[in-house]
Amino acid sequence: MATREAGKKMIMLKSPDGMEFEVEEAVAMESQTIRKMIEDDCADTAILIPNINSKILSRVIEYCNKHVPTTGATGAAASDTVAPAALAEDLKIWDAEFIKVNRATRFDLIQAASYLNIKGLLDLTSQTTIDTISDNSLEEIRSFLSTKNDYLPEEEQTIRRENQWAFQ
Amino acid sequence: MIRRRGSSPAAALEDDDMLGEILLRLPPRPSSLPRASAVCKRWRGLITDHGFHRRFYAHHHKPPLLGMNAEVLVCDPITGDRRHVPIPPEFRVGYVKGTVLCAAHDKGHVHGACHSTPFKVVLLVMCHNDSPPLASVYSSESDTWGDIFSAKAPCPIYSGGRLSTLVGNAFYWPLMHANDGILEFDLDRQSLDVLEGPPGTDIPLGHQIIPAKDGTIGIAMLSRHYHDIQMWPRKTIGTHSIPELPPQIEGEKPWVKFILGYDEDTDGIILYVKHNVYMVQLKSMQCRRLFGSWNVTHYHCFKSFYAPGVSM
Repeated sequence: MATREAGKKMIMLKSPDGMEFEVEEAVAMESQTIRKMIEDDCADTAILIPNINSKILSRVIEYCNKHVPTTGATGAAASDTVAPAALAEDLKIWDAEFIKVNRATRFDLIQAASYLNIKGLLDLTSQTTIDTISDNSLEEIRSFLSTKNDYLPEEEQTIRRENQWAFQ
Repeated sequence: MIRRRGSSPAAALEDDDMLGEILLRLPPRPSSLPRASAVCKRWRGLITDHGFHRRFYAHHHKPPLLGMNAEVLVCDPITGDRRHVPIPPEFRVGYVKGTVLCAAHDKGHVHGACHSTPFKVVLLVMCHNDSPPLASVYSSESDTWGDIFSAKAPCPIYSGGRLSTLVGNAFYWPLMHANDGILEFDLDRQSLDVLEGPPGTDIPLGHQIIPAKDGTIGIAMLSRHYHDIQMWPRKTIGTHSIPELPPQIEGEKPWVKFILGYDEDTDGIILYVKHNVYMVQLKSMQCRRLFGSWNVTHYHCFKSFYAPGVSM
């Protein structure tokens, strides 16, 4: 981020473990949940994010900082010199690096993106999860996602047989 | 992050909404949803949900691909005639089963050579595990679909390729297990009802609806441990051994065995036992091996006959 410019409205986000993050309002409003709070005037000077710890919240803010649109007077310098396609490509590379996290962190980010309603982050985290498993066997999917197979062997056999083409 | 169960890495997946969000992003390949629904019952429940289909469609900007098209193709394999029939929107999402019925009116008409005669298409759809099945009839003469009938309550129909059985002027579909009952679509009374089934087997694909004597319906059930067929509701439930079938040796892993279908004309049941397909004539219980195969899922009886006026 460039140095903070005077006149920009700042918002304080608090995590339940007591950490405080000062962010630009525009960055915080990448979250539709926070945007709604601000627009409905429910936001005090500090907003408590009840179920997202500081480690995850800081990653979420990092994501929003990167993805906040740079249009308008303050962002003019960047968009004048860099073509939109190049910006999009840059974001894609940045996203790919950002999501190189372990499974537990990725699932936490999914939950945070869902609660805070940040579509881009939800897309990135969920899509990465699906891409990891979609070509795996059922057994690998179950093991990766710690999902228990609760079909009786006969039931699974029936489902596989009825959709045999899908398992080839 | 507050986690519900300790710090399981898959905590996010315990929430149906969140798991739904992830599954929405499955690639829009035809195989994606059937494969994912085999992971576990909860996944299947989420994926077969009507709302999920709508969101999956919206996410990928494509129609859901669970074996569904917006039309049925009625094809006569003898004459090669094909007819595309668009299906009502209510039938476009879910498990659909269809049957073609000859609608010839002339008294001299003998079924079996029904080429180029008017026909009806009976469609049954189960959109969702929690919604009742719907049925409707298409008439080729008016080129329209009739009223849509709904059963009174949801019922677990076989999701696979089981065929209906026509007895009198009513169609019957088996529910998931024989003791769940039978779904009846009566064309005369124009009603869709669930009839009580027999106490009996819970083997998937282990039962078949058959016409009983006196125009009522019966069920043939494959017993779990032996190669027997039990008949219901005949006065005495007879258990018939079939010597032609290979014996199940005690202690050996039970074979894959199931009922493939039923041929009304010959009153024959088609069985798949130990990689072979057999036809069992129900009255005589005579059994004939048709062919061997490692991979049989669906079976349609096809009778070869000469179309009148066609020289061979």
